[in-house]
Amino acid sequence: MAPFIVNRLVQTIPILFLGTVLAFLVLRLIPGDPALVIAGEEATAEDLYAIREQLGLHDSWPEQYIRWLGDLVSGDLGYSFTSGLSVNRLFTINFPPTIELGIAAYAFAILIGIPLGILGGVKPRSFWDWLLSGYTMVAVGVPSFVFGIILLWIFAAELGWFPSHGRVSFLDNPVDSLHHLALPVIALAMPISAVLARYTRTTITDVVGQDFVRTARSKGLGESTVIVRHALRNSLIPVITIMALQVGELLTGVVIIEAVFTRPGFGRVVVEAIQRLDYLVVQTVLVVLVVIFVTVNLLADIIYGFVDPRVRVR
Amino acid sequence: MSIAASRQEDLTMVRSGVTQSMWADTLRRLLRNPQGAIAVGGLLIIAIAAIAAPLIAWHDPIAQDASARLLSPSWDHPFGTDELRRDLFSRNLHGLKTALALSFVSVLTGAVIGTMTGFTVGYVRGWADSVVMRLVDALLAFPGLLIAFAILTILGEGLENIGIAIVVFAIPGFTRLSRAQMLGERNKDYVLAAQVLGASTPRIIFRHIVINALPPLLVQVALAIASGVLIVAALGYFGLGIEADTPSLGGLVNDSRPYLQRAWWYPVFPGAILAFLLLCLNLFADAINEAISPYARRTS
Repeated sequence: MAPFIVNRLVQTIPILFLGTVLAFLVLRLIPGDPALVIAGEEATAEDLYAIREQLGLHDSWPEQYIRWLGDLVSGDLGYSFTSGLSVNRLFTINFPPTIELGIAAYAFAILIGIPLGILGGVKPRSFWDWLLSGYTMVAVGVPSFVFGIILLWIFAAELGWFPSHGRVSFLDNPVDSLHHLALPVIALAMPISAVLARYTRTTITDVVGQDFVRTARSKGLGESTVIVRHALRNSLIPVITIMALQVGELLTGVVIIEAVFTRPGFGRVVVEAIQRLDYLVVQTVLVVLVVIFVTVNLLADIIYGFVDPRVRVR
Repeated sequence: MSIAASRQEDLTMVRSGVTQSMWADTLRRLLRNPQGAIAVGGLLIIAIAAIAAPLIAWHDPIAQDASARLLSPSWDHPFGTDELRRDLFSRNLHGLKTALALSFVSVLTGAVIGTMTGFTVGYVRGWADSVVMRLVDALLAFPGLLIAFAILTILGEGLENIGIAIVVFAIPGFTRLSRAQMLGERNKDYVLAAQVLGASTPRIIFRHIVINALPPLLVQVALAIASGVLIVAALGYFGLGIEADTPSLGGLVNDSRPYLQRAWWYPVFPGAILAFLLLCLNLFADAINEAISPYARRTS
């Protein structure tokens, strides 16, 4: 097991390295002058020079990259060019709302998607299977922001059951927090749950057709034992990989859904930072997202290795 | 049966049109599948509506009409009008045209670049393969929409820049898939035969292997176009890259926000068009997958 984990860890290093390089380069290519953005239109040449000096923009790109990477590793994320806030502070303010939304939506997607996939996969062409097909068709078709707007319109504007914007911390007031979370969570979770449901259904139908399931049935086991003890265990393992990959969808979806429901959080930070050419914030956010995505997938691979010994050998 | 007689029989079959090419066979299976038929029909309708948008929509998408603001659907304005008295039917159709044309052209460009790269490194292997694949992994780790955001910030407003963002987004997926295809094909006997006969590397890749590895890539094309449409719609929703006046389906949904309770037709039509388009693309991908893979055919 140890060599397998080490091997996977080593594989992620070049991805993370290239990820930071890409995040750094993408923003350097922007044809704008952050010093001008900070100083405003009336700034003199000396002002601009001083600001550039202060931001370290006169150094060569490799020097800037290495300094930034060093800061990143030491946990000092520097200061936002435009708002003057430290990036650490920006993150501590904006992370909790996004984490709340992300975790709640992910949990909801798993809670809906996997049982639906199991029900549809165990009994193909049953009521549940039709429900599953209908659900995935709708969820695949309707973009999350359209779904979010429809939820807002019906449940916030017309019926007034849920608030249309804002966020309350879960730690301060759990009930009110969930009340604010309900609509964004549903909009964010729907496409993810559909992918999970579809994939679970496929793996289950594959496994149910295999010899060991027939053997389990023919030695007289009850249908529920066959499904739960034999089929499910084997078919849910590949779902781990898809669950990890869907974290990418989750990260994109958060940005969109936060905008639709005017929730504070990471998404808004990114959009505003891009509009204001706030290099440091954008490149740090990009790196944080890549690190989250890569870590989740690394963990999924390691868990996969634990539950399915065959993977370790490959 | 002698070899000559067998060959003669093959030739008669070919001449009488009994045998079918791989593509004709795929198309026949695709249309026989109800999902596939719906998808192909739906996509045809959408494509015609998009291409003929200037002919079908009799109002100008940008001009402000003399009629009232936020008019509900009528014969003259089938999808109603917006708060600036513009015809929404026309704006929806032109938005559809933009989304479809942009994602189609960009995804095909990305597919060609990505597939050529993937096939080449998958055939050559070695350090080029390692470098390219690590780069692909790194690109795939970035959320697609944020890449598009960043690229649009660099390049500025303009449909062609959205196109470039989608090309960049599409390339890594095609590179990875086509490389995997190549790894599966390159050790088969027919490749060895071509090598023994002295065929050049480009000829082996593009004449022999590509033809066999192409069908699964078609599935990826349909799915990537769906992602492209989603990115165009999301960018339109954020108002990034598209001028405020130019109609876009995502922009229409965003513009409708203040009028949700007064004008149901404002968000519903662009949302429904997007949903129908994405659904057809996904059904199409599924149906092709079933048509080309004997395994999927057997289990479904």
